[in-house]
Amino acid sequence: MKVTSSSFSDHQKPSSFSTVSSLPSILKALGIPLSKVSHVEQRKPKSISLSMAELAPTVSSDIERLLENLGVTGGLFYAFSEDHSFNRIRSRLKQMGILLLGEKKLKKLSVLLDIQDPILGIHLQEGGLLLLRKAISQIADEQK
Amino acid sequence: MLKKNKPKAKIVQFSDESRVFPDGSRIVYSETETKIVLYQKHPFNKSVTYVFDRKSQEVFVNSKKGSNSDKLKMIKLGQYFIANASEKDLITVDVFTKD
Repeated sequence: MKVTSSSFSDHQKPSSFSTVSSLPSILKALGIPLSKVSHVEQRKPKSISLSMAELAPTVSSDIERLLENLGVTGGLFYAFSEDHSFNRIRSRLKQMGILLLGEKKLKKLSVLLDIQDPILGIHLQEGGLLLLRKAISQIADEQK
Repeated sequence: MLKKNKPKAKIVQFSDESRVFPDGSRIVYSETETKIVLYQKHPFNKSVTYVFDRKSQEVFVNSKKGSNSDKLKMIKLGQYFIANASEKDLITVDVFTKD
């Protein structure tokens, strides 16, 4: 099913959502009836947030390996809220030669590794996606 | 100034919908406060929709309750999405409801 302009209010120009042909399937999966949708808005993401790591606590994954390589194991996710953990992460990243972290970048990293959520939500903001990819790639190379 | 409602859902996908991932599939990520959804569609195949219930921590595949193995598959798919998508090529769609 292709979403048509009649599915939405006048808020939205057809051209703005014509790219979301999977929208009905997605909305159904999210439990949102299409009839309840008033409008959609597209934006070039200044930040992209993917919460995949919520699924990860019990399952081994590249992300968990990344954290383990940073010296952080499952039970220590909370420790991210402590400053010394950031230093450890920073040291480890430097050691891995991934990037030189200024304080501003480090704050982004802290967001990336989400200090607030013990379930380890990962928020990819601005350079975060690249940062995470580089880190995982580096670890993969080390393990070869 | 009018207060802007929060979007009910957020959908992340390639801004060019005709674009596919290296394996030829289309993948769409979406989330609400209660669910995370990953949708994948290979050409000529039925789509697969993974739904993660954030409260119960359960995963559903095409509406059927999934196993830990399915959860792992969903994670792998999410990682594949992250590894093969660049921020500049993605778009976020905010979905607003009438309520």
